[in-house]
Amino acid sequence: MKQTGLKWIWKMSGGALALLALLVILIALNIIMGGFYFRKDLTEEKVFTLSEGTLNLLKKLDAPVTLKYFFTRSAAATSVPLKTFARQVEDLLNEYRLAADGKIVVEIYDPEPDSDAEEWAERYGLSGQTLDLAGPAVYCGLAAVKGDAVETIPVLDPRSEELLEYNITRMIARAANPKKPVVGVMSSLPVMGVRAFPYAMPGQPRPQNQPPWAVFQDLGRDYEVRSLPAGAEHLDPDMDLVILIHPKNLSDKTLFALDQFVLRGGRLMAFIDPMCLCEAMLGDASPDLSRPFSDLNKLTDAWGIKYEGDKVVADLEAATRVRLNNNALDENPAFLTLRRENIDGQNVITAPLESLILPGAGAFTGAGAAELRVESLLVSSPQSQLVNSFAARLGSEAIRRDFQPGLKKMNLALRLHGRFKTAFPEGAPPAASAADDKEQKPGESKEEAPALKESEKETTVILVADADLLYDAFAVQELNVFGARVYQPMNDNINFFFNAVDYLAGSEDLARIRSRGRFERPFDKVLALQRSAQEKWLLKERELQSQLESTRERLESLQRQKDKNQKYILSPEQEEEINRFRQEQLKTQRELKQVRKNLREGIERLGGKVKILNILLVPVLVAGAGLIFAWRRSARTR
Amino acid sequence: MDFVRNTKAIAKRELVSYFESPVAYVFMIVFLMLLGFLTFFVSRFYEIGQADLRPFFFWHPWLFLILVPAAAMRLWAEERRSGTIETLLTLPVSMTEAILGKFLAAWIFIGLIIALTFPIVLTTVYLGDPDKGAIIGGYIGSFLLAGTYLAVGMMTSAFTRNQVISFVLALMICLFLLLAGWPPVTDLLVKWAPDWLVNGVAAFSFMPHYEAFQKGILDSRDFVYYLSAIALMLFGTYIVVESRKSA
Repeated sequence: MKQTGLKWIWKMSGGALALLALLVILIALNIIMGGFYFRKDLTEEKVFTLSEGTLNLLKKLDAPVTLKYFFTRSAAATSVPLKTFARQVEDLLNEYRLAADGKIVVEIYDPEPDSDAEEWAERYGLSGQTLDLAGPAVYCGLAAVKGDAVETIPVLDPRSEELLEYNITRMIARAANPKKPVVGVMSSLPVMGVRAFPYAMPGQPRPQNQPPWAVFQDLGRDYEVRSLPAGAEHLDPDMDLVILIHPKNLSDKTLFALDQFVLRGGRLMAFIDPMCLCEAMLGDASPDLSRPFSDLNKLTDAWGIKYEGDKVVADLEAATRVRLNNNALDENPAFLTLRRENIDGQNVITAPLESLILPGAGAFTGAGAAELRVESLLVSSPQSQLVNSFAARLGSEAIRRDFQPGLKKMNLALRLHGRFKTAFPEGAPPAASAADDKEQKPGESKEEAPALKESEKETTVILVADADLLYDAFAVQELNVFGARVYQPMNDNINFFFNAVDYLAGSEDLARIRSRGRFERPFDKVLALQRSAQEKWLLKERELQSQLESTRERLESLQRQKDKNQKYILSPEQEEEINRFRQEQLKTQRELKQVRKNLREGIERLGGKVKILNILLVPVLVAGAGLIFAWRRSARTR
Repeated sequence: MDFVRNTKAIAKRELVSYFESPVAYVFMIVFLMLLGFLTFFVSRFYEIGQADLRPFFFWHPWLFLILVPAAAMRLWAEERRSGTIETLLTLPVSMTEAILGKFLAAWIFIGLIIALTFPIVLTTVYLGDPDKGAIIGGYIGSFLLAGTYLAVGMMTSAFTRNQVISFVLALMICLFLLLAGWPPVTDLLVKWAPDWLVNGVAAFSFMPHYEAFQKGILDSRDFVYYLSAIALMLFGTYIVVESRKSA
């Protein structure tokens, strides 16, 4: 017995040793396989594979770019999710290296405390963050070095994984071409931020500085941004692109300067807005109520595009759920949520986009002048109509009351390409007053160059009938990533903007990468149900409202029939009619409530079916199969 | 050739025995109903309105924690308790064939249960337009994860003739491997263990490998990780059964 026990212990310890050996072998195998791995990306949009845009850009590299990746892997405080993300970054960098045919060199550093790697990370301006009180700083940043040019991503954000490739490619592009294209920005809104006068009036709160809008903070990283005054009368010809944001009341001289800029081959992007919500949100103390909208009609008329500045697109299918002041939710048809069906999937600017929010957008009509090619980038659904912007401000009830869909898609954003004709066939507009002429500096010539009547070469203009889409509240969410402030897109608004800017002034390849992968995959069936329910509700509401209206009219006509003496005394007919009116009103309200309830029921019923099907159907079938199996077995044994 | 035939024969015998026991049906029903309940009522899959199966796959590792050790606990413990292990070992099959056969049978059984969640795929395709690649990846990841849990359960089942002890042991090991590397666990370790140990423990964690599959990425490293873990546990089973045989 004792001998067997010893034998067993001997055998067990031998087994344990063998197990340990296998463990070591397997760990070694895992480490070795880490170097020779293959990945298959099953996602539909190949979100985790290098895109064509990146490959094109890598092909164009003339000299090697070194990517230095700093990640504090060894610190125990670095969490597993962050390590997983870091592995993805490494994999992606490796893909770059393989695709670039020697033009990309990847170096990976673990910046442990007080190491050379940490010193380098700091020298590149990467920000390490301490995750716990006593722990070392954790770095997760990237630097691209080409000769003397250094570009960095100080903190890689695990939450915007979809933008990882875009950000890395953009960094490489910047390092490879240090000269930035020039973009001029002219705006009636404080898009570039506000530097407040630091002293307050007695009794007044201290004025606060406002940072630039997130979009424009970002723009400065890739482009040389020049802020143009709203009344600029001369535009530098060396600018590649001019962006207009909510251009209100531009003088003829400014419009002429823009006109000539385009005719000289400059590219223009204009965000004009019939109902600028952010103007009020930014607390403009004295909004110009006589003319709250912006337009470029003088120029666009010459290009064959019409735009009604005081009309807003209301679209039932693109209505957005917004929270009202009283905290109630409201489906507002003037607050457009655009999805794939509203976005041109063929155009490089919009093809990768999926969802945009345009609060209070206008519409463009017209086929464009003969020499221009006009493409719609964003459109409304056929269930849309132009409504007065004043009515739209009153809210969805006011819009829905008289809603008559035009059954035609409306253009919300256009791309015009070709040779443009001048909007000033008579030449430069005269100065508004003699004083203007006198203001001219002595050295300045009155006309820099003879006015052009037609484009010298083909160029592109992008018109967007909304400016609010760029405002932070509608486009981004501010996040804190290891203590750093990072903006994360809420939708594709920013992607749309940058795709267009990259397309017009930068690299078309970059426009191809941004926003790959879909943020949203909504339940289309539920959305369709919601839409049809809304339509039914609208019809019913209108019907019941008109019934109420006719009762009210009857009441009024009874009142008119009475003679003067009896004016303040109710006639029996009137009394009866009032009673009937009240009853009808009650009934109408009850019916409307019922209709609303019935409409919600459609969606809830579908949800109920789906839940039952998924939770009970298969278990019931399994139970049935089990019973049949048991019954057959017992029958056989009997 | 004999190896394949014998393994197949054992797997078949085991698989049939699963379906002969009412417990298997109860397993299936409980797992499917719980998964449906958690997905629809706790994760509010329908109300979120997104054709993305992540809220569904999220629950798999947690439900497997109960289901898989339960399905594995009888594999050896029962044989040992009832004494059929001797019969099994006198059959003209090798130990490796017996272990592999049993493992494959249990894996197929669990795979079948996973496959029976197909209505949620149909539902999602009906309601919206999901990324099919991510769904396929999610199912592959789920199947591999179940296999790893199963291998752990098989080893603990070989340790003891008491099924409950086997179940609890397997559950604890799987739970540890699931949580390893998660901040609450590493935080506990960080206080006293050296960095290499903390990092080593974290490297064994199931979760990061499972997550890549859910995104729709098939990475050879994740396959190697799961298959190594399965191989290690099966080898452990071999050693335990072999030592018990001679004891």
